Amino acid sequence: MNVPAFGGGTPADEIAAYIDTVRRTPAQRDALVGLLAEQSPVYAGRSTNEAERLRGYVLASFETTGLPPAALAYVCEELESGQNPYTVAAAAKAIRGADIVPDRLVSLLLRAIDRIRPADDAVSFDSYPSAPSHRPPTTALMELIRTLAWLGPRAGASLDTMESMLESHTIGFSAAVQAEIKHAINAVSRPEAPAARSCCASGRRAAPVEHATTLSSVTSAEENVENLELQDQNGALVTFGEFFYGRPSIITFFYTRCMNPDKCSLTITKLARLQGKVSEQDLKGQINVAGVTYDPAFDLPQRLHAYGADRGMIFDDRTRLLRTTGPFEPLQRRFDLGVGFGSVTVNRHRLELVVLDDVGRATSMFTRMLWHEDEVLDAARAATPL
Amino acid sequence: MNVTDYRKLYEAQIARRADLAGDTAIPEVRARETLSVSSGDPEARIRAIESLPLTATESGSNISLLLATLHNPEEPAAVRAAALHALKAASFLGPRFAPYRAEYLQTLRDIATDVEPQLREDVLEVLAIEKDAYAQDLLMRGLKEPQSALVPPAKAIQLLGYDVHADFAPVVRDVLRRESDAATKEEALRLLAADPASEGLFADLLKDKLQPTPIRALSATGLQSLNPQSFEKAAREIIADESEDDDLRATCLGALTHIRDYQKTRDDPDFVQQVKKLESTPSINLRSSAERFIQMQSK
Repeated sequence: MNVPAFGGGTPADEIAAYIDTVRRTPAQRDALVGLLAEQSPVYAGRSTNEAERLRGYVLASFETTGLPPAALAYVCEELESGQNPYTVAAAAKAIRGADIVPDRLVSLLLRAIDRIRPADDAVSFDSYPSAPSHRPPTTALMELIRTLAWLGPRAGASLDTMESMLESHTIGFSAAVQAEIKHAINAVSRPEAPAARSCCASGRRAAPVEHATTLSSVTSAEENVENLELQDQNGALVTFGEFFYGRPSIITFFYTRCMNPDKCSLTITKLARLQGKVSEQDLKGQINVAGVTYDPAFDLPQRLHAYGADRGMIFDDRTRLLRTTGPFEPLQRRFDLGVGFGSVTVNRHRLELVVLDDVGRATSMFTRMLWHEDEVLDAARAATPL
Repeated sequence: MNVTDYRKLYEAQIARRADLAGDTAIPEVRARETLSVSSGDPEARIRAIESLPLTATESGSNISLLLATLHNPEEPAAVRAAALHALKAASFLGPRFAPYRAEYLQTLRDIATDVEPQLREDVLEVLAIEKDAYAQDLLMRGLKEPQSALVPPAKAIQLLGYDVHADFAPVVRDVLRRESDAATKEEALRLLAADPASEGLFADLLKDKLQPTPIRALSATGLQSLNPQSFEKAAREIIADESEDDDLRATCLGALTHIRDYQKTRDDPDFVQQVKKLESTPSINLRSSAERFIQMQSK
């Protein structure tokens, strides 16, 4: 089946009809993975809600088609940092189509339950949700807990947490969710079938969640951004080459209007901590630490300054928040950034951090899953010329 | 609802609550009984709703009762409004309300197209604050097809403004072009101040002397937010132009006085001289703006 050339102007119902077709022909499931990339033309100009609904509809399809390995990173990202109950529920369903489950799955599911608990909502994936369905029988929390039940004894690490959810002093779960928890506890407590003890025989093997890549091939070396003009949080102008060439660099991407506290706000907070570690390890001045906004037309210098300072950044010559003074697209192409844009601002983005060597070549990229300061610093140190 | 009506409603609610705090409060059991039968004196039912305790851990069934009352189209509008009001208050209970949140939102979606206009508007407002996709679709459809609008266009634009990630800009720009209602145009400009692509629109409106002053003042705010340098240039021209509206000149001068970005203008001796002359202008607003500028500048 050829994937139709969807664009931002394609009606969502038309795309949903295509997804429905793939649901009926699981052999074509790989075609859906392309619809998960944030920068896909299908999301151009759409609102965040519409982009999330389409992504959720795609993800939920993997429960029936089977989850292609290439989609696993998208599912794990959603479980780790997704805020929209519809998309998180869809990721929980997608896992139930997996042959290989990520090794951190149980902790990702518990983390998602904790995050969605105060924001639970009714969800339905039987048809594309252009209108509310009549009393859908499921919610995001119920889908997350059903996935723990689906894992059975392999979710043993969740047992204590689930039991504590049902303790009398605990509040915060509806009767329907409590029933799901009880069912999941039974499923998880079940003695493991002998065949299932072998991860390969069970058909549900464990795989590490990949989020760091050592690379030179993923980014587009053809896109020359050396002369791209940037402006920092104080209004100073500098070209990409002037700032980033001559020493290794850590660049992360963000925008100040991001509503997900586990994405941009946390990213810049972590960047400030990373800056502290750079200083502690006597690398100050030897490594550039920078955040570049996806939303340069809105993130003017004073907004960048306030956003960084509020999150602990101490600006200096080698530590800056930056915006492109012209279009952002050259940087997006250069690093193949996972970001999509609505009519006003970003509609969706992944977490992404790039380590550059002293001539501006990308040596490592951390995407989708939360990065840790120490692993980034190690990557930057590896990019430092001896 | 306008400010006067809202104030009256709020005062009535305070008065009623004061009554309930006295010896007229209804015991919980009786309040539940009153609400459980689907007919009865609306006033008594409203009092029952206002008497229902919602903060105790075991108040879950009271929340369910309120959800059923809100959902029921047979209930008088005032009773349903009271149920919504109580549920909105309960939604601030955090973890205690969490078990009912999904059902609450679903109930609101079910009645978002209700025949009762005020209830519809209140419900859409709650959903819009939640950045609800369905509510945004309804509001957007109403702006594109006015015959299907559930709330007036100014209200729809205001509600869409709760979510900068809603795809509102092209539709709201269309509304701005075609609407003549001042309130709608003003709401549209407030919302577009978040849209960098509207910078040119604000610049044009600010310069256009044929536009009403409130429209130009909002355009000044929008332009200042999206392009402070462009605003600075336009503001200086407006302040210097004696044929300009004095209130607009005062607004522009106020921005140049207080916003950090404009220190260079505040330090410009030519501009300071220009403003000093305005200290004797007949316009009270412009004169006091000029005085404030000179005070700040001399500090």
